[in-house]
Amino acid sequence: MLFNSTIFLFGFLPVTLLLFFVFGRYSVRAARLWLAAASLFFYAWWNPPYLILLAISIIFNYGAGYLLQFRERFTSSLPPAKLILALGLAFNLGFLGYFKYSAFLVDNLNAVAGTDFVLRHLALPLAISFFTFQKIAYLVDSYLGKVKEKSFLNYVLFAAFFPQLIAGPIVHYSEIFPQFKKLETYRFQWANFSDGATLFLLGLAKKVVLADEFARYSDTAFNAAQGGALISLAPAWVGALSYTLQLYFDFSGYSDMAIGLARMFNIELPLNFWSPYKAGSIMDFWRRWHMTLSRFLRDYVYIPLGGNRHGEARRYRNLFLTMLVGGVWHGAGWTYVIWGTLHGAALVVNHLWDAKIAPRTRPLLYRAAAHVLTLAVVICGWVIFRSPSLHAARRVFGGMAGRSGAYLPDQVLNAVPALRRFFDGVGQVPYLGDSTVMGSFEILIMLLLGYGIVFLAPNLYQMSQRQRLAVVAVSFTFTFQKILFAGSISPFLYFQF
Amino acid sequence: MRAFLHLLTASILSLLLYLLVFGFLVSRPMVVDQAQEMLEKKMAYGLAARHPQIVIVAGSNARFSHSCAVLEQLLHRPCTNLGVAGTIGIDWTLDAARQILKRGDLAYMPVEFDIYPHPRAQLLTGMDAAYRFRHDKASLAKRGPDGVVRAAFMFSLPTLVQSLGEMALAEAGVRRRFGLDTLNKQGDEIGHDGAKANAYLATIRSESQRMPETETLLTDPEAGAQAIASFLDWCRVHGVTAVGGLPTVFNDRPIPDAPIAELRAFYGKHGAGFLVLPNRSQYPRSAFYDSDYHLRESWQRRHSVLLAAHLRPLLSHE
Repeated sequence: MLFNSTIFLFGFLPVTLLLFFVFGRYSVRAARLWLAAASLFFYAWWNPPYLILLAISIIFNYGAGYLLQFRERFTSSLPPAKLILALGLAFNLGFLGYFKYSAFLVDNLNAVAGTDFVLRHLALPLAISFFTFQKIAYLVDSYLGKVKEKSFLNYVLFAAFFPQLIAGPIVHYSEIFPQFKKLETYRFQWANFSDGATLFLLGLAKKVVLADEFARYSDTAFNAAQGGALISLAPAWVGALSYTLQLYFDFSGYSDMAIGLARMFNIELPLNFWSPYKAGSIMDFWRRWHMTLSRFLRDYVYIPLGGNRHGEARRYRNLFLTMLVGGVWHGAGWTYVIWGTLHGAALVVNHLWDAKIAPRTRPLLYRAAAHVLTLAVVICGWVIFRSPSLHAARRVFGGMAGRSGAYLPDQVLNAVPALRRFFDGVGQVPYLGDSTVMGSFEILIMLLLGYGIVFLAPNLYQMSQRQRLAVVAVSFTFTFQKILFAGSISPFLYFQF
Repeated sequence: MRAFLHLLTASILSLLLYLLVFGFLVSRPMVVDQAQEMLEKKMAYGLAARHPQIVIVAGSNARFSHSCAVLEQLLHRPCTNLGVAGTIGIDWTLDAARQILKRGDLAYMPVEFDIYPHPRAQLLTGMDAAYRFRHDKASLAKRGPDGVVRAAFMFSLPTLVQSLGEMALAEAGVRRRFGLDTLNKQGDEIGHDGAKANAYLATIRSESQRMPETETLLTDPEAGAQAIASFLDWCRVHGVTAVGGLPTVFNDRPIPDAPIAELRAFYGKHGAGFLVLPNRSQYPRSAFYDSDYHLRESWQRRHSVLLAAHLRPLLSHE
């Protein structure tokens, strides 16, 4: 079920909220049971048979976690904790690997070895990457003694809590469940409800008013590139710049909605974004973008690899490998491998630069250049990330470099003759703004608006309540216009991961 | 509770602002308002002309690929080209045609393939709905609650951007590449040839050939085909000869027989004929202006000469 679907907004959400607080008045256990059941129903809405997979994952991880947490009860008959943890991790990674990576591995094996293995097409279970990482964290925390949870119901509620089930934020048991153990969580609170509803509406606006519009512009370029078309300068840059905005508004919008929904249930989820395009370096970017994934990768990949404990060379290797894992986590394809490699290399260079070359005082020009360079790396990364294939990525990059020509509509060049130095005039520029002048004008203004928001505006968590309400006043009707009257809703980009 | 009331107030304010802005403050002078001006000019000619006359009814295919001036010259009776654009809502054009047509007239309808399956929601949110919501609210009321609500909520953030942009450009005196001054008195588009057309060569080369698809052409009972069917029925009742036709498209591949048979059956069911020219209205890419529905002016005239020869036997005698 999508957060931006009418069945969710006008059916699932109000019923789930209402009954959660009604049950909560009489029995905390009944309220938890209701919320867990509703969350599983939410997941099953997409594809009911895949609920079985989620259930298997939940049951296995609950069992493994229980054995790790309460080993003393079984001392004589249990294998060592390390072995249980290893088996648990192997199960989760095998589970993820089978559904997400097997086709990729078989395809590459066939290509390299000339074999002809055929793998039955497997639909990727929704949210498998997110819930697998969350369960790995649970097992490791159980092994380290950070978690004690006997109740199966409580574990199910933690693992399936619908606001964060599909695309995060990736949470730790220790930051969520203590909140469910407080009695006041089960009492309706106007302040939390209003605050949550406001965040939810603003996240929804980011998704349907901004991200989905930028999707139209970026899809045109990337789909054409995938189809083999040559993309000229302007549409290639429009595609890259639009996707950069689309992904941010889509995913941060989803995270705001998740945080808002959880707050309606009196639960605080961790932040996932903090104005990432304002970052002055790649290191800074990863402190601001998908923060809970960065935290997971740091705690469960980088540090176990050795972190910065064994000298500089090992540290940079660990950094690079961590980002590579982050890239591969996003998807089974060479584009994700290259994207992870790019960010890994950029992080290493960034650390080296800071350690060896960067001046102590950083004047405005230096900082501005750092921002531009960071954004350039990020945008190039997103081109690879978005491209359906390496061929498509090459075509978009070729277009951005002007290899397929630079064209603008004649009328634009007549209005701004200075542009003739860089562009040739044509009647319509293929793959740019429905090939109309007004379409190109619309894209230009929308891009200015989008980048104005990400560079200049405070993020939702920096805004006062009054500022948030002002944004609601501007965006609310556009949001519901898109949901109720625009004909179709689109899924969130991170659902595919 | 107070915070929630504030949120509710902001939401209601948002709704009022939206209706105020799109219903009273902004407009799209270079696209939507211009479509209305074009239609008014065409109607003025049709209403003033004598009868029997010929009226060409379609989207921009009528305007760019058909020449009423040529038909008038060859068939010796007035001809009004009512084509504006496929996106304006075909019923807007059909309503205009109903006002012009009289017993003994001929309506030729080379309707674009993608207009037949336009869903009802799309018909209710065409350019005409935007125009009516902004400038002619009384006529919108005739479409019932569904039509009013859909028209009221058809505006998105890009619409606002386009509106503000067009208002600024219109204020600055910028003109589109076509408008009232590129229409002749009969309503045909003129001047779209030579250097003006050559600017679009790359576009024409890169476009894929449009083909009617039998799976979708006439399957939705509430789609654009329904509006066309009602119009054909109206013609039959009012003694107007209605004749369907094929829009002009590239000749990379011939249009298959199946969709033509389907269209012929559809028009026949509603008492109208369906005219298929020997070339199925297909021309080489070099004959086109900026899209496959738009012939260059020289080819627009050639196509109209061919059409005139086939329309002549269908004309009623005065």
